[in-house]
Amino acid sequence: MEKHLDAGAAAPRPAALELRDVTYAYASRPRLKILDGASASFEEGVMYAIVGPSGCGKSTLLSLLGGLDVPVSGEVAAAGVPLGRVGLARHRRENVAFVFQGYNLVDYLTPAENVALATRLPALPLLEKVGISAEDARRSVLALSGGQQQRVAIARALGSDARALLCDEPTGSLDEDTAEEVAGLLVRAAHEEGRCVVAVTHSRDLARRADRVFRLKRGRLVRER
Amino acid sequence: MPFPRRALLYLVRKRGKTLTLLALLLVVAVLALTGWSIRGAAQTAQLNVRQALGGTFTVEPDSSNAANWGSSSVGTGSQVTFQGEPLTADFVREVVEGVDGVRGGSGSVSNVLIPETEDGSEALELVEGADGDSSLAAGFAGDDFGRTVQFFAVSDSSFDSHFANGYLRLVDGEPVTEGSGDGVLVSREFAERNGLAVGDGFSVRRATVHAQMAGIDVEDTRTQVRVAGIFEPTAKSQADLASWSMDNAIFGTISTLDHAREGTAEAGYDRVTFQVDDPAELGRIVGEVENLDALAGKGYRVSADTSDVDAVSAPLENMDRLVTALAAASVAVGAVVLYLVLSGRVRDRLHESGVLLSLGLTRASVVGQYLCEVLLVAAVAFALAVPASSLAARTMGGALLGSASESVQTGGGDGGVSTADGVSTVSGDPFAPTFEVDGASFTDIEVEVGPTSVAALFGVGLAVSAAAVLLASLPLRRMGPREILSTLS
Repeated sequence: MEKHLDAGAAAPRPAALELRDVTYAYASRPRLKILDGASASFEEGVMYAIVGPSGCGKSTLLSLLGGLDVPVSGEVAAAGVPLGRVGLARHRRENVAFVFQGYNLVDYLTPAENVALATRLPALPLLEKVGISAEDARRSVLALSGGQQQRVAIARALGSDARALLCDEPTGSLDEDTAEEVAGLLVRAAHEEGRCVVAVTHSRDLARRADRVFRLKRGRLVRER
Repeated sequence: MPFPRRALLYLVRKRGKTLTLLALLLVVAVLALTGWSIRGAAQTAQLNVRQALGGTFTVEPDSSNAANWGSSSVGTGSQVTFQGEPLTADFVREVVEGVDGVRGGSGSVSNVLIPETEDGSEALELVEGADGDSSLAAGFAGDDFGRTVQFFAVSDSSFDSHFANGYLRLVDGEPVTEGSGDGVLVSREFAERNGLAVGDGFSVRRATVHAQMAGIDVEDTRTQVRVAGIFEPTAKSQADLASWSMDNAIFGTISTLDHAREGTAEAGYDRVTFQVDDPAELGRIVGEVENLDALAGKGYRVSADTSDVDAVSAPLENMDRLVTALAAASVAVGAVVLYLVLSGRVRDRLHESGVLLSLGLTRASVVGQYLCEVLLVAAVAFALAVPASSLAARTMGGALLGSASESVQTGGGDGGVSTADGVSTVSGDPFAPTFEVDGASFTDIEVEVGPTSVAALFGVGLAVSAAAVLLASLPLRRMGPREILSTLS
């Protein structure tokens, strides 16, 4: 029997993010429901892993949580407030930060300037926290390794005021050791900084380090751990 | 990070793309500004030509109708005179005051007289060097007719065609009007040769042969005159006799000429030439003048020939059309190329746009950055285009205007104009001096990039650039950030 989550019910305060009976289908194929009545709550201070086969809708789920897209029905809420009232751009700016598999850094900006896109905090301490030296912080991002670029992306996410970090295959392009280091950064972001970290992943190692694991199955979220 | 800073960082770090865009905008701006400036110069040249040549019409007795004319005996000879009312200064005033758009006019009648000292003891020295018919001059060598000069009796020298068309320029003293009495205008060289200044006097009389033909004593025709003003020819003049050149001409009143040649005042002016404010209004003005009571049915002919203007203006108008078409084409092609290039740039940066949107930046901020980049580059390109266009416009414009003005020549007795093929379009007194004016004097226009053109370049150029960016950004505005990121991932 699949178990539908309602983690928010046990939370002492509104969950950082909530999915409330969300349904989603691509406009080009409206009958094929990628998400079909998915509900879940994501709390601060917890790292979540969302797993499932390719094409099951994991990235779509992340996009809906991040305000990059809107559901066909149901709603997404941040701190208890539906995104329709918050505004998608404001939600992206204030409530969530993304970490993508492909890093998605702006190539003509230095690591420090990439971080400055998302925060007014000094960039160098944030970059040092994820292991980027001051010297590397002023180089072109294209001169950094993949692991370093992902660290910059995480620093950019950590630099924002967002309480939720949404990570799409954050270790997908990294070697084993680097992936382990990046996973450690995400765990620390949840446990030490009290962020809500939601990572969509195929990596068993990353899922193993998450506090809670959901599987996306037939358009719904099922808690595995 | 504010979008202007992002824009600056992009421009500095993506130098290749920045320089490509700068070069494109610079080429378009230089073409447009150069074309615009040459067009402006060509239009100024046309305006000058019209103002110099086109705004005149002439009223004179209709010589084609024999009924208007009668013959009378004078001394041993006879003369044909107009039988209608004479053309007078009053008639000039009536036309100027009665018809809108007529700036002024002057009656004119000329004859040949001999200038001498006040007491007639010595002939005044004439200016030599003007071309003339040497065989004709030799025929008059033994007679004082060879010392005659052209005397123009005018009602207002300011509006006499020689002065109004710019062939002569008053450099000292006052113009001569009917109220000037014994006042005359002489050329600077004539005055210098004879030690004459404004206020000095000398005398004029008829040639002996003319006095004998009229049966009068030549001394009875002597008239004292006073220098009221001094003029300078702006063009080389030519006459059948060298002494009849404009350097020796005297402009005075009809009363002075009448004293030397009795009956001139009674016969009135041979013709009256009027200047109008706007050559384009010439047709209407001539129509109104022909219907004036002073003229209607009284044997006068009003002629307003604009073929001289057309002949001179045609090459300039052709060049104007050509340059306008080139300038318009360069702007149109430039705008299309700019749009295509900017579209490509925005398409290439869709992923970046998606990243920025995913970070919470608004579409306005993203488009604002692209707009800022293009406008900054455009402003630099347009600033560089000003000196570049100035140089190009002077070089190309000088060559084009020079070529257009090569077909412009002037000539004719009273400031008439002839085309390059030598066909005279305005006939004048066959004995009066003619002019050889450098055609470039009409079209000697400084081709320069004026502040209006620069302002237009910045205004239109920045608007076109902004429109191209906004059009090119349409896909960005239509697509959501996830769509952008998923499309490119």
